[in-house]
Amino acid sequence: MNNKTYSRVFILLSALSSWLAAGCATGLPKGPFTAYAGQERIHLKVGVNVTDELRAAKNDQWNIPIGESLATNAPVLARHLFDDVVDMSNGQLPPNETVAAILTPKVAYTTRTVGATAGGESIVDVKVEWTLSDPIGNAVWVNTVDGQSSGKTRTNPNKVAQQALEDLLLKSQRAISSAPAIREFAQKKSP
Amino acid sequence: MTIMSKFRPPSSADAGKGARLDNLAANLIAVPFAVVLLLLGSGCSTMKVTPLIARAADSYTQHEQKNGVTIAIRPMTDKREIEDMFKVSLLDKGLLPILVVVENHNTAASFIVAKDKLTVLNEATGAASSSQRKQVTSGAGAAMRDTGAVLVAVGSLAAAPLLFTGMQKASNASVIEYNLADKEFYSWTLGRGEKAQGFVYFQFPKDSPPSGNYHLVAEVKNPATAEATTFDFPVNLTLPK
Repeated sequence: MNNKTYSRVFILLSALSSWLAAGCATGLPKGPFTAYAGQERIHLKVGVNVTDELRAAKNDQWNIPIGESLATNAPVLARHLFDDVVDMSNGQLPPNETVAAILTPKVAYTTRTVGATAGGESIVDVKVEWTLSDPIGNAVWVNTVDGQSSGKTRTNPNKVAQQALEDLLLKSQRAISSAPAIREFAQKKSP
Repeated sequence: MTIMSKFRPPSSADAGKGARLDNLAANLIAVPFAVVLLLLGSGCSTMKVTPLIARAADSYTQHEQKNGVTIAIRPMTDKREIEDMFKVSLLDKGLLPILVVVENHNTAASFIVAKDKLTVLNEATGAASSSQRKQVTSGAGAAMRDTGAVLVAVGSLAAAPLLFTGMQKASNASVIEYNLADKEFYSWTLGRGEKAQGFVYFQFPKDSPPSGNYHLVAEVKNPATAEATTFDFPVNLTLPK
């Protein structure tokens, strides 16, 4: 084959392989998302409970490690929302610490749809159930926040997943900061 | 033929023949890929789903109001309606969707409606189950797509229809599963004037569809007082023949 035909075959093979490999994810950015809108913090000392279940949550089909990313982002989000935040792991507080409430994120659902063609729409959807409870476990507020983003099927799934995660975090910030049940609870705890 | 003649330097005629063979070989590989890439960009389309637009809770036949909270339910047993909403016959897969709409009209309090506090109770056996989603599509489309892709990649143009059919089926399956999950009823805390809606999926054995009297029981909690309010809706889940 001459150089011209080699390059034609190479281009076509590359194009097809990139489509075939579009589903192979490699990971979300390690650093936390920080572009939250500034706002007055809720006057409450909160423990952010990151569980092993959360850390392990991922989309098996697409290998999108959504749980790890949420485990990194939940404490950062909480620090934008509340006056005082304590990191907790699997429900355990650090020694000699007390909190007025515990915030626990749980992945309720995650998926990625594929388009009928490489140029077809693909949606990444992440639903997270946030629970704010008092220290003895009574729920004060529970909400399921939906983060969503879409792109073409050939787009790197991690890029779309990252956008869905950012959508989820921004909506979570709005949901928590605007919840009357949380504001009322905070007022009771620190009038 | 001598060894020398076998390895004689190529003449210009041989070079021309060789180039033609090279081009033919290249085209045998390139054409199927070109067809694949051309078709990738046209023809197939991604399935569109029907959005869930629930009416006001008190407009449903089965609704109840307590402490300013209105809950309505509507079991969806019509096969055509289910197919329109979910793009798959859920009843054939052993799932019966029950629409739940909750509105908080209480002027002072918020209420928690937790997903696991919505249960379907069998009146005869006393068995209770909360919403249970399950996979309602097979992996056949994805398998077909992957097989087709491999065959096309090794140059079998005849496998192109298999690839495209598989791609369309795999895409539809992913959209159907997403649509099912997206429309499920999740946990919410409803502030004043807020509304939540979604389906509770009642799972039953495919060879033993539900019949007779059931209850959909919903427990709503006021987090400020810890007071729980229970709503109980009797429902006949006998499926039409």
